[in-house]
Formats: sequence, structure tokens, C-alpha cells
Amino acid sequence: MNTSVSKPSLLYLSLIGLAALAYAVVDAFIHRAGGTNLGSYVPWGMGVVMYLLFVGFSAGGLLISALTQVFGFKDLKPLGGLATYAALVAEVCAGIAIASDLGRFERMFNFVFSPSLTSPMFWMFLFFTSVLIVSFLKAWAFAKMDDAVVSFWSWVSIPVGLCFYFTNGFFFSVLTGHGLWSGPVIPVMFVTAALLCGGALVCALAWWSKADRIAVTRLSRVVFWLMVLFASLEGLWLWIGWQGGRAETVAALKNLASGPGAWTFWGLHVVLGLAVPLLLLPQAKDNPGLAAWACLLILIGFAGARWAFVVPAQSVAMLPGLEKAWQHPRLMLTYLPSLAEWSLAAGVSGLALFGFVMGPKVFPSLYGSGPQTHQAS
Amino acid sequence: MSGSLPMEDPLVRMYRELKRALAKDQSQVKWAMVIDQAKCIGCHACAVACASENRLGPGVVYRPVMEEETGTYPNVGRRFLPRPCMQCENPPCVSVCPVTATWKNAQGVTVIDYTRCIGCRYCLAACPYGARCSDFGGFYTSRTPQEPGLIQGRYAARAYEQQNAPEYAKSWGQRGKGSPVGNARKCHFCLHRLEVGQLPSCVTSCVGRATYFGDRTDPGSLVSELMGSPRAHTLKAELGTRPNVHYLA
Repeated sequence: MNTSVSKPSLLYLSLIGLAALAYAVVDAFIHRAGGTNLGSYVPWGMGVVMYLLFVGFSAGGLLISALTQVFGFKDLKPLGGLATYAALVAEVCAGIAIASDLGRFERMFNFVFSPSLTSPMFWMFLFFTSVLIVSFLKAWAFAKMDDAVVSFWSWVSIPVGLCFYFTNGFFFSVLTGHGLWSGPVIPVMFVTAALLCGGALVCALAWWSKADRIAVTRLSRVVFWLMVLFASLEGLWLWIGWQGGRAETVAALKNLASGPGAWTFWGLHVVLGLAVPLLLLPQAKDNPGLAAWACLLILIGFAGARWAFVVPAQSVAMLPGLEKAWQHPRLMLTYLPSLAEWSLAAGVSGLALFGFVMGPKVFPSLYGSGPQTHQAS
Repeated sequence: MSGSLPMEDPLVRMYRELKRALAKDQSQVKWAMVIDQAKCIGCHACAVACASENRLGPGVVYRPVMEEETGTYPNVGRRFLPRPCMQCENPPCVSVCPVTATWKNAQGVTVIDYTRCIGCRYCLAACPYGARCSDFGGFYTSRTPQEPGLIQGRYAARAYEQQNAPEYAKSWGQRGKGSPVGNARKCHFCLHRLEVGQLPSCVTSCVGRATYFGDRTDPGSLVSELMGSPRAHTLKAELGTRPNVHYLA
């Protein structure tokens, strides 16, 4: 495996992203959520979109663990270290995105000191922390080339990861006031989406770091079938919402399909992130480069998918006429991110890119010289 | 002849009932509100009085008044729907709070601990009535002119705005970076007024006497009487939240 990566242009790009992140973090410290364009009727926006996006990216570690430990895909073992490292980077990015979105982030210790067991957000926090710790310990084991410990933490990461990605969907599905979010399909869809995104990220990174060609193409086949499953679930979700006929849900669906941000759903997600990769991946059996590009499109497309999931659902008033009763920019049903929010999005993306560019240099053991890689080779 | 005698103002009766309720064991009192839509004239006095009483910042509103137009010309109708917090018996906003910063108090009012709230806005998304707001900070007077010679400029105007209201009967200091900025906020039936024997500001400011307030466990109270009316209903009853704000259609 060739781990030497020389991508100065990507490194410069990531540094620009880090500068944007610095601006976003400083703005969050000064203005808190006041620097966003969020409001009381659209309380979640870019911060939550980026959190969900990167949480999905972090599922690669879970996917590879499950495939190698449970389903016996031994030829994917060389990707274990890389997948774990990618999960760690993505989790850190997701954590920054959501923490800076809090109105009073300095009180996050209350998750520990006054937890509420009835809150899906508490469980999300718990499993987020668990996945972070398990991923760190797994990465440590990879770095130490201790195959037994790697195997142990890989097994542990499977139930912990599944619970985490499930709670992310559960978090939304209990919000019965929002017809588009509530329902039992959402948690299952979130788990599938996470595995798809995580797999696509590992596939793209593996090709980029010139990893085992066979492993890349094999993983791309898994990504393809995960995408088929996800597209089916997403179709089911939209169909149930439409067929159910509840006025608020149908209005939110119309906004998703033809509202101001519809291009993110149709253009970014459906065309670029689903249709094109569905066409490319079957042709990439002997072409890992093509598979990696298709996976990159999936990742970009998921930004649109997450926007389409989070924002249009909030475009419908909880009670008719509520948005006109007391007029203020913070009491509207429309939402466009502020400069600080765009900076946060660019910033966490830049941080992830920085991590992925520097990874092979700083953590070469995770990128290919770990114990499982030797076994595979 | 009795029909020509002046009726007792409902406010007088509600104050009498409030005094009676405050003399009781407070864990036995359950506050409720009834809003008569047939009497509401849509003047928004309650919304403004609430904003003034609680010194609500920009983008924060506890009791907006919605307007609904029905029918087609010439057979049209118009009615108003003031919307305070419903103080649900089964509030979806409470169970989702990850840090137990919100709960129902002994009198059935859903309250927020501003010092514990992390500002995640999960409760805002969970409330099916849109009754919670996030305080993003700022001042209404930010763009008020301040020029030499102006008697009432930005600084004088802001001096009023900078004082936080004593919500939950606590002092919150000057409005700025500290709580309740960054927190979720909501109607709390003016608990700080009730504590000193005053009705909520939306009730006392209602010029049409369309808003009634009292102890629903008191069978002789005005709210108990009105809640039994066949005109009484609650919003989104199908969700099972069991609001303590009732409307007379």
C-alpha cells in the first residue's frame, strides 16, 4: 500500500476551511446562536445539517467492523484502520458543528449532571460519546498493531454504533408535531444512510490513499446495495407522508419538492448523489477510481439530502397563521444560513479535509501498516 | 330590572377567586385559562402587555394573536386565536429536554430553568403549538437614533430594555449575554405576578374580557364553569397533550 500523499492544493483548500472555522467559532463565542439566521419557528438549520452529515460519514468504522467481524468480508480488513480514523475525524467535525449550534454551549456538562433519560437527545449524546471513545480505542489498537484488541473493539463498536445511528433517527421520529420527521421509518433510514455515507467515505479515501484495489471495489459493491436500500427507504418515507395526506406533512413535502431549496433535493441528492452513482457503481467492478468518484458524489449529494430532511419540514407553521401573528425575522418559516453558518459548514468540511490529507502522514499505521493489512497482503 | 343592573366585571370575580386559590395548599391548585374567541376583538393588547411585562426581546413572543379568515366573499368570517403556552398535562416539550431544564410545577405550569437550559431548541421543535421561542439576544432599540439634542435617544430607550423581567420570581440582571439570552423561553402564566396576588398580564389587559384565568380544581371558579361549556374545546386535542388552555368557539 502506498501511503505517500502529496496533495498541496487540497491542503491549502483545507487551510482556507480552517480559517472559516476559526471565524465561525469566534462568532459563536461572541454572538452564540445570535449569529445564525435561525428563528423560533425554524430552530434548526446549517449546524444540524452539518452534524447529521458528518455523523453519517463517521459510520464507516461500524460498517467495516460489521462486514469483517460479522459477515466475514476478510478482504476488507486492510481498510479497518482507515475506516476507524475517518470515523474519528468525522465525529470530531460533527461534534464541533452541533456544539457551536447550542445557545449556551458552556453548559454542556448538564448532559452529565442533570440528564433526562426520557430525552432522545440525551441518548444521542451518550452514544456519540461512546462511539468516540470506542473509535479512539480501536484506532489505538490499530496503531499498536494488536490484532486481538482490534478485534475486541471492532465487536464492541457494532452495537454501540448501531445504537448511535438509530438514536439519531429516533431523535426526529418522536417529534409528532412535524409530520415529515415522525414515524418509524426514520430511525431505520438513518442507520442505512449512515452506513451508506460511511462506506462511501472509506471507499473514496481508500482509493485516494492508494489502498488495496480489491478492497476498494469490494466495498463499492456493498455501497451500491446500501444505496439501493437507502433509496427504497427514502422513497417509502416520502410515499407514506404523501399518501397519509396530513395537511402539514403534504405542505412540507411540497416545500421539499418545489420550494426554494428544492434544488438541493433534486439536483444535489437525487441526481448527483443517487442517480449518477447508481449508474457508475455497477461499471466500477474493475475500476476502483470510478468507484471512488461515484462514492464522492454520494457524499456531496448527502449534503443536499440532509438539508432536504432538516429544513423543509420546518417550513410549515405549527398553527395556521402563526408566522404572521407577530412579525420578526426570527419568527419566519423561511431560512437561509448566515455568513457565520456558511463559515461553519466550510470550516468543518475544511477540518475533515485537513484530517484526511494529513492522516496518511501523521498516522501511517492506520492507513495501511496495521496488523490486519499484513494479514491481508 | 335585574337585567339593567351592571354585571360584575369578570376581573373582579377572578381576583376574588385568585385570592381564594392562593389561600389554599398550593399543590392542590391547578391553573387554567379559557379564551372566548367570540369576545376576542383581535386588538393584540394581550400580546403587547405580555411582551412588556416579561420584557421580551426581539423575536420572542409568548402570546401571539393569530387571525383566521373563513369563507368566500360575500360570506366571509374572521376570528382571532390568542395562543399562550397550552401548559399541557402531557407536554411533549418536557420529555425531550436532555438536561431536565423544563418541567411541570405543582400548579401544572410548565417552567424553564434558565440556568440549566443549554439552548438546543429541541423543545421548540417538539411543541406542536409553536409556543416556545428561542432568545437570540439583541435589542429592539439597536437602530434607534442617538444624536446630540435628542431627549430620548438609543441609550435612554435601551435603559428600559436592558432590565430583564423577574420571570419565575427571580432576578435575571441586565439583558446582555447572560440568560435568558440563548435559552428557550415561553409563557408561564406570569407566575411572578400570581405569587403576589396579581392575574397574568394578558388577562388584565384584555379589553374585550375574552381571557379568563383561575384554579380549575375550584368548582366555583369562572374557568371551571366555562370549561364545562359545550363551546369549550382545546387545540390539537388528537395529539393527547391535554392542554390547560381552553377555547370557547
